[in-house]
Amino acid sequence: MSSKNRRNIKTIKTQKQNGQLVISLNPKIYPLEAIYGACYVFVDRAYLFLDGDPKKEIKVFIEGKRKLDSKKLEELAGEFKNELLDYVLRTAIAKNTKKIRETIVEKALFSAFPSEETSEEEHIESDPLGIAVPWEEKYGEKK
Amino acid sequence: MIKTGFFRFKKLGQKYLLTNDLGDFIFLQKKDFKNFKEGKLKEEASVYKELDKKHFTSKSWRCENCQARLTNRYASYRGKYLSQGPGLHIIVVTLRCDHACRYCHASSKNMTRTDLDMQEPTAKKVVDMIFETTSPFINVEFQGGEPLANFGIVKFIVNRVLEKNKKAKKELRFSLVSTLSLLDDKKLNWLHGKKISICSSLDGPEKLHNKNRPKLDGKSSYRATCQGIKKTKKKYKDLHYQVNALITTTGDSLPLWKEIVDEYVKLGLRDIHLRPLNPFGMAKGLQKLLGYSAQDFVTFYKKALDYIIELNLRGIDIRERIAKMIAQKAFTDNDPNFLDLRSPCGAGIGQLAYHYNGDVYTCDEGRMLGQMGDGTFKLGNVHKNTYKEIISSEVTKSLCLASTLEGLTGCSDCVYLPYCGVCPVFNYSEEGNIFAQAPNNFRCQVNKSILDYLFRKFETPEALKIFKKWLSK
Repeated sequence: MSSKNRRNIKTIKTQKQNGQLVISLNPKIYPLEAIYGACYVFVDRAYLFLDGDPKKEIKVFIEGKRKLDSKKLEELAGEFKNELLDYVLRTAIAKNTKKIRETIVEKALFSAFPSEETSEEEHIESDPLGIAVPWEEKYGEKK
Repeated sequence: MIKTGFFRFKKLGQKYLLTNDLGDFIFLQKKDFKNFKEGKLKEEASVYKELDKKHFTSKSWRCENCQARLTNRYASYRGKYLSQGPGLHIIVVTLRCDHACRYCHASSKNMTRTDLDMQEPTAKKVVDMIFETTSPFINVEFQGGEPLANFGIVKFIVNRVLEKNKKAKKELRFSLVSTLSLLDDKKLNWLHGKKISICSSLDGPEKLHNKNRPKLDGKSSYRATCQGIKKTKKKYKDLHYQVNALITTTGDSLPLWKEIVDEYVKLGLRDIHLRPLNPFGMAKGLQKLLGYSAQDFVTFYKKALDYIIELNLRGIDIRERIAKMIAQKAFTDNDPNFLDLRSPCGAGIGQLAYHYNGDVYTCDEGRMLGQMGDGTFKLGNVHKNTYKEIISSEVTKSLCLASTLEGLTGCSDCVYLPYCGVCPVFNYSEEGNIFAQAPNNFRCQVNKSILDYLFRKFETPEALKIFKKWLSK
């Protein structure tokens, strides 16, 4: 993509301020979960801070743990945008497959685990209140 | 709208790697990945058929076969260890040792300290507690210090376990982790007679091994261990057990990747486990001296693994354990149940560690921290607590929660989730928190890089053939 086209993208705005990046995102295009996910990937290399309004605009402030020159900052911005795209897809896959995935996993786990139900005999053996003991045994024959 | 089954992915080189909950994986070219996620792949295309066969497409992901495989995977993997209770019981019978290893994980003490031996009343209580486990399978592992230094208690425990098992009828296994320097014929005959498997420690060639693991009497620890391995191999020939050895990698080991592998081949050991140094025991204080970065270790691992594959191609039979386990997870539905690479980890629910004084810990790593004066992972003591109190501890529950990958930031969406595992005790020791910050975590960095490398190797027909051969044996 040419730098001219890049500048025309309105859903992402990138600024460089005092050695840090400020990336402004449209939350209708980039869900908050995807932004969190992408930010997390960079915690080994950068300090990140989020601000803005989740309904209007999210601002991501990124500062390198080591001082980054202008070129390195630009590279970091590019990497962040790619990671963000990956996270948008991950979020979409998770959302669209959530229900059926839960059903499949639940069914698999239910079938895989040994049943915890006990036999009728075991229930009678653990009869602490003596409910299963016949009247005659408890109180003797009726006269 | 996404028209696929559930999958995780990452870009690896020029391709995209996709994995699913079954542990199946596929590499896609950029163009195919784009078409697949947009639902534009044609059903007649070979790549679609491959995706369909491996349950990545929406249709095959919902099919009965996929459901059956997932059930089977959970049954052989999570079903077993989550519902059965602790099967691995590690007993530290003494803290005494005739070695003074630079990185000693067990924080061992010298041979005169007999007050650090487990005594019979404690051993009796330990065995009683082991038999309260709900697991139908029991593996008693003797560790130290040097367990052969308190051999009387090893014999006492084995005999008592065998006696109790006449009634309990559990599936039993014994193993002993030893330097083998105190192994004489009498002990070896007894261990062989009871079919106790033996695992030793061998760091590599003589100079490196002796530097890492000096003996207190100044003699060569390398010679003592090699002699022990040879004797045991000879004696155990009639049993199906293999004598194993573990390597502990220090900074000095890194340039010696070839010599280390050669040493294992020379001794006829079939497996080598290339694992990084743990931050426990003395190693934590000496990390700067002995340690290295994640990248340094990964470079060492890659060189050694390439060499191992080369040796295999030349007909020399030696396997690397991490690669073998990952291959088993990626190509079969039968999980190796290795406690470091499973979710949740084994702490408290798969294993318990008993200290010489009867203290019970979630795992051996937790016990090592306990020995260093941090009792965070202590669950109780066999003299004071019941099995129920030990097993229902909040500590066990916390570790279970902190090692279930699906609930962890950085893990839940990682492409390698089906093959990986975390160690909350490691995280606690390194970061002061049982929940790790994945991108900054040493283990995560090592695991991710090794997995990147292995999955690339799976794409190489020659290497793949070797990995599959390892699985068939």
